[in-house]
Amino acid sequence: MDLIADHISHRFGALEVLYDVSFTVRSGEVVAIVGPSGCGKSTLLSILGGLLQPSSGRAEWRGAPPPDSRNPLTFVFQDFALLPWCTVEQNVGFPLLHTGLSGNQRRAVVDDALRRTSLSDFRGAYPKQLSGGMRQRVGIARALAVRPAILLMDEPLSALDSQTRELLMEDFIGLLADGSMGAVYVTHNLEEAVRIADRIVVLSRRPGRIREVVAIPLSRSERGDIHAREKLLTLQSELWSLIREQAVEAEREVQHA
Amino acid sequence: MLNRAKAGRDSPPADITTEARPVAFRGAGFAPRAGRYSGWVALVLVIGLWQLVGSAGWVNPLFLPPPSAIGLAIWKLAMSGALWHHVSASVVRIGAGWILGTMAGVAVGFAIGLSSLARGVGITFISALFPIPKIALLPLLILWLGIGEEPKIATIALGVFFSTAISVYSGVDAVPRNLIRMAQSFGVPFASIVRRVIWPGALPSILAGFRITASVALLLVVSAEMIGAEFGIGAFVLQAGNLMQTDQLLAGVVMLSLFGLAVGRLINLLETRLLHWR
Amino acid sequence: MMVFARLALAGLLTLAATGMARADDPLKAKVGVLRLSSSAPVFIAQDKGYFKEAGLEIELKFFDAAQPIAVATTSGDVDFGITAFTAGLYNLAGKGALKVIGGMSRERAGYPLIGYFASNNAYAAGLKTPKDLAGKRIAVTQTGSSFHYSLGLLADKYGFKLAEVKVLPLQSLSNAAAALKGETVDAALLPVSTARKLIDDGGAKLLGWVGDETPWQLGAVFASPKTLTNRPMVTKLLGALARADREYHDVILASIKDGKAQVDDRTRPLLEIIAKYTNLPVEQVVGNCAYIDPDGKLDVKNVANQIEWLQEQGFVDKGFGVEAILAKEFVKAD
Repeated sequence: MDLIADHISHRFGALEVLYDVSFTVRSGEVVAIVGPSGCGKSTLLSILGGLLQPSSGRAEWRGAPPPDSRNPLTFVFQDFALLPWCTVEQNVGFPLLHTGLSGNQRRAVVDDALRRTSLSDFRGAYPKQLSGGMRQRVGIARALAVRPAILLMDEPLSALDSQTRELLMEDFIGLLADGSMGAVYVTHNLEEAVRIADRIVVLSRRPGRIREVVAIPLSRSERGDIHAREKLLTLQSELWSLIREQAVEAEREVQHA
Repeated sequence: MLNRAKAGRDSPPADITTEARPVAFRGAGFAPRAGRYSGWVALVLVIGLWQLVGSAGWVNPLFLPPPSAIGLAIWKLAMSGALWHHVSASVVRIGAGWILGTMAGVAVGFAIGLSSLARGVGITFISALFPIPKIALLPLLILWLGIGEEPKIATIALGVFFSTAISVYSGVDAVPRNLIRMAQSFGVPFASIVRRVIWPGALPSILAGFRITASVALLLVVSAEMIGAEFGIGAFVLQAGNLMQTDQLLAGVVMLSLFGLAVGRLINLLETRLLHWR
Repeated sequence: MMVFARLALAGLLTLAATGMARADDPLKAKVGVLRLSSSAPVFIAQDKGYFKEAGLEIELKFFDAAQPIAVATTSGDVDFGITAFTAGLYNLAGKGALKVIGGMSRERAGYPLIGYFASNNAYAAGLKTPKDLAGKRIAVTQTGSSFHYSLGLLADKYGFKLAEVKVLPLQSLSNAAAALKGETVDAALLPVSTARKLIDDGGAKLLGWVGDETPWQLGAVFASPKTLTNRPMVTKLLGALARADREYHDVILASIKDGKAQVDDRTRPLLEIIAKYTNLPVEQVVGNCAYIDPDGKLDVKNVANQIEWLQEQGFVDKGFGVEAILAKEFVKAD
């Protein structure tokens, strides 16, 4: 299933946030969206996932989602968005409650999602008992439980410390390895972008428009390699040079606002 | 291979001639904790002092009956069987009034929290009607509802309704928006979001509201029982006041406050039960 | 609410009474009264300077219910109280906190004060005379109030038991009037001032007046034991009051026909004084004149009966009689 941004523009009142953004996420592809602060990355993701109506243009999808998908476009949130009154198990099963699955079927799906995220031992825990990394794992398990065609990941690692980020990044790469799931990965962290993305959409500062789309010429499995590291670093600094000047301006602007 | 530096005191101190002094601890205080017994001890002390003042004849027992006189009044009341009549009559009124007011308040509170139309209308009406002292409406309530149980229950229900509606809609407003967005992003239907996200999310405020409305119901039982009540703690307090039987009056007040304590306990229990996830 | 306010007041007054030394000029006194025409001689004595002529400087303190006056007298906030007997007053007096020194208003045939009133439905269903009140639902203000006692007297007179009547204390006159108008009680005992509007609007029917059925001593002058130690002051006050009682009796009460005082050159000045202090127009004052003994006498026998009755009902603590609450050296018995 492809996800298409078709000439999307958006404004909040007088504030123009996005301007004429168009791109396509192909089936199984991982697209990272980067750009200076306030360039409308998260807004764009909300529009793509149907949580926000764009001022003009539209988000559309083409092709067939996986036959057993219960929510083809599924978000993973920066703040995890776990229900604090539900256990890990209940949080993961939450989006299945209205799908008409029987209790047994639900349990099987939840068990599978917990296993894939190594959470089986924590099924009875409440979110407040878990570390940040574990909480985001619950968020991912919940997303996996509905068999998404495309994950919409909104800065999924930015609330975590760097060690946890590293571990979760490895998990993401593992989950996306078989190409059965695509992703739109919004981040301000270029290192994450070059590690996980097939293509990187670079947005300009506000109003965000596409400055460049950069393809990463390495498969994800190759990127762990020591030689690839260097290449990725070069790529990362090229991206940075694209953004840097505008990031400086964006930062000043934010401070003035 | 990592080059590991040795930990320990192998680098010499800067000045060997001066003696090492401990760093003074300065982080004490600012962390009050309620002791387990201090509250009870204080209570016992106050009651003891009160009794002493009464027994020693320092104040006219008419103005401040000693605890023993109050205890005796309660004892006599219990022995005559009237205590049970009074308590059960009030419990029925408080219970019925509280439940009715709470149900209406929760319904209206949710409507205000969820619908723009209800919000505009509801908040205006609540702001306009909440400050009206219910006691001023007693003659009207009597005209509308007579002097049976209905106006008594209505008095309590009215008082409970407004506080509940306000605490419920503030509770609904306080449910984190990101949880609602999350549920929407999974395509969860409206009714399910209300039941599974907004209701539990608003529950802490709703229970905090219950704590207030339970007290309001207790306060209003005295007003409610102004309406021709034969039995009831409120009626008992009113009669004792009318007859200047101050020991009985305070006995009634003690019963009301014991009632308040019991309700407070009940809500604590409910909170630990329902809000253990906090 | 009233109860709590009174309690708070009593508490404050205790503090004031125990803590403050009051100015001990024997000629200065405070008198607690209600703004009702049943205190008419007080207003006359004050307005026409009878107190002053007797060598007193009287400050009138106005209250909105009978009971707080008794409480304020007990606590020393006022030196004298002039109002109706209530169970609360007897309870205070029984503990020695105040003593009765003279009589004031009375229920007496021909002088409408408290009436029995029927709701329209109950009237249509056959409640036509006070005798028919047996077995009915009857609103009063408070248990142990003048209204309650009047009902007790009626029960004795017609030989029915008060227990057969459902007495509903509604705490205020407006509540009782509302219940009567709303047909939720069969009858109510109300003062003429409250009932007049109800009758004029057709909201209720008059069955009769308490004074016609069961005359009794409604009001009194009382003082705290501390005040009583100042004999000259008490004597002067009672003297000035007796002078006003006599005038009120001879001028106003003598002119009453069909329960209404006549307005003429003699009565007008006094009626205007009463109107001024009660905040009522003269037209209403004339139908509102309580009987008061011209010599300020007290119906001691009736007071004894009141105490016994209230003790029987459990509204007044047992163990004292009328003798204990009278200051005999001042009271002129009937």
